Amino acid sequence: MNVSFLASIILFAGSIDSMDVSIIPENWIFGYDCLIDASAGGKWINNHPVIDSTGIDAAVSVRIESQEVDFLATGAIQSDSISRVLFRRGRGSVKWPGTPWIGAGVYLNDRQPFIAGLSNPVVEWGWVDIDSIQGYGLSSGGILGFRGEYLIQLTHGDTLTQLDVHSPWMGFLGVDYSRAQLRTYDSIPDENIIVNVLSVRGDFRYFSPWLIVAGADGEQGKWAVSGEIREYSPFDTRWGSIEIVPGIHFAGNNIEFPGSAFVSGQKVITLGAFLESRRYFASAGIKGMVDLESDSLSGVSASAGLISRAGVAWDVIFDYYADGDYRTVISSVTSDSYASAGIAVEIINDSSRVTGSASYSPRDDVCAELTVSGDIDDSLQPACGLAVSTALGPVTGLVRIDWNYADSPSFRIDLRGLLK
Amino acid sequence: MIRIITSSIVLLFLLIVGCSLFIPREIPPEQGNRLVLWLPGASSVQVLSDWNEWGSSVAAGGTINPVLDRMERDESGYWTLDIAGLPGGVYRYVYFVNGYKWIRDPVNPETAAFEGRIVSVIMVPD
Repeated sequence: MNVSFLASIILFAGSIDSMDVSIIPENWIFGYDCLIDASAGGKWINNHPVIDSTGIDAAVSVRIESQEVDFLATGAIQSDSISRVLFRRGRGSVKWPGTPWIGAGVYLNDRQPFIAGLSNPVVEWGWVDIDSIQGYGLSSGGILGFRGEYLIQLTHGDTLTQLDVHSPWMGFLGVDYSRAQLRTYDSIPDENIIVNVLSVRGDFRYFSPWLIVAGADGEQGKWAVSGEIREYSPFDTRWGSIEIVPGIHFAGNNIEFPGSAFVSGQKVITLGAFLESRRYFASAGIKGMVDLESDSLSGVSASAGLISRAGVAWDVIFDYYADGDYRTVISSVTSDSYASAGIAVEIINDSSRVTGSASYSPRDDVCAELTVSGDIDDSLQPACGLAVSTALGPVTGLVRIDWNYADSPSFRIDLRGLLK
Repeated sequence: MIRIITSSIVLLFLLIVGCSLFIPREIPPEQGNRLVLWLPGASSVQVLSDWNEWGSSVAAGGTINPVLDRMERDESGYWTLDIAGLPGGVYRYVYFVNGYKWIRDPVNPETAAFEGRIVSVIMVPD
């Protein structure tokens, strides 16, 4: 029943082409697609494959866009241990264009909180579970190039409010302000997390300062500052440049942010030097960190990458922390259109592991890859994997077989496609 | 004496071969602002990033859209993606190879983390 229902949905999606959609005004864009993910996995037990999981996820999206409207509706059918039909994602917004312009929208599972930062975002994707987020928003812009949005989202009985204001790029300066407030009632009793973030980025020809100031209402110590000087290149030629990047990451003792950008009590000064070539596939970088509060983050990170004329790709990463922890990863892969072979060594403190790989591509859209790895000590702990992947137009297929010394071989078949 | 000469020739040969492994390949002529990856044997390469919700995987459903920001391959094995239309800002990104493998940009020295993985960072000017 489920398969036939799925088939009917796909046929419906595929037959919209022939439908009369003349009710849609000419300047509106009408689109639809069906994203399918079918998978099966299991283990090889007593010389027989035993499938222990299967799943089909088919999501049909219909989209209508214009200068005035933006509608999206995504319905999905999921079939694994049980089958269900759900309205996965929806968006309806209208906009009165002009200067200034105003708009309003309602959203379902469509807007996940995210606030960009330096290297790591201030608020990370996945802060709240996107399922069952109902949102209502008002937006406006056009006055001196500014734009803003006020969005209320309800998720599992909690309320998330977000205000974003973005300035235009004023030739040498751009400013963004975000305020996110999560008031919990159900998930955690009576929690009130507030994030105010002011992001300033400048461009003064020879260098570009980027500054992020974050703070929360209420108690002292709920603040954080991150800043970097970018694009200062004392060595800049046609071959490439060396960019020197000093930075600071300070945070108060009571900061609580749902992301990795700020750690409570953190006081870290960084200095990086990055070599990037404009002409060649070669790069190198080194970054030093000094933790003024404790030595936990003090250390040095270095990386280098190169692709040689002989077709060998090198990648080296080295991290060393003041507390004695270190990690080194060195990998080298030689490739051509039909085959590749590589070796990688990863050393983390006292343990080290080596991985060998080989791949074969009989045609452009097919690749088979074998990897074998083991510890470089008496325990060995070998593992190997075989993956055959293909990409035929909008459909990708993957068959994987993995074997770990302590477990039975496992396999997985995955087929994904976007049909329009 | 012959042994010393033979050894010297072998060492010189190994040195030349070894050095050739480190002579960098030239980046093809740039057209606009592009991400470029040389990986001739891959069957598909996509870019997963903050700008595309990591291939839509962070949105409801969790399935990576197989054609979203898929890179185009030329005959020489270069995969490219035009990112000229992106708004200014800092983005984390990674190459998603053959539908299962995450690799950072080997010629971008700036790295960050996403869900425990090492990814690359790019700053797009306004």
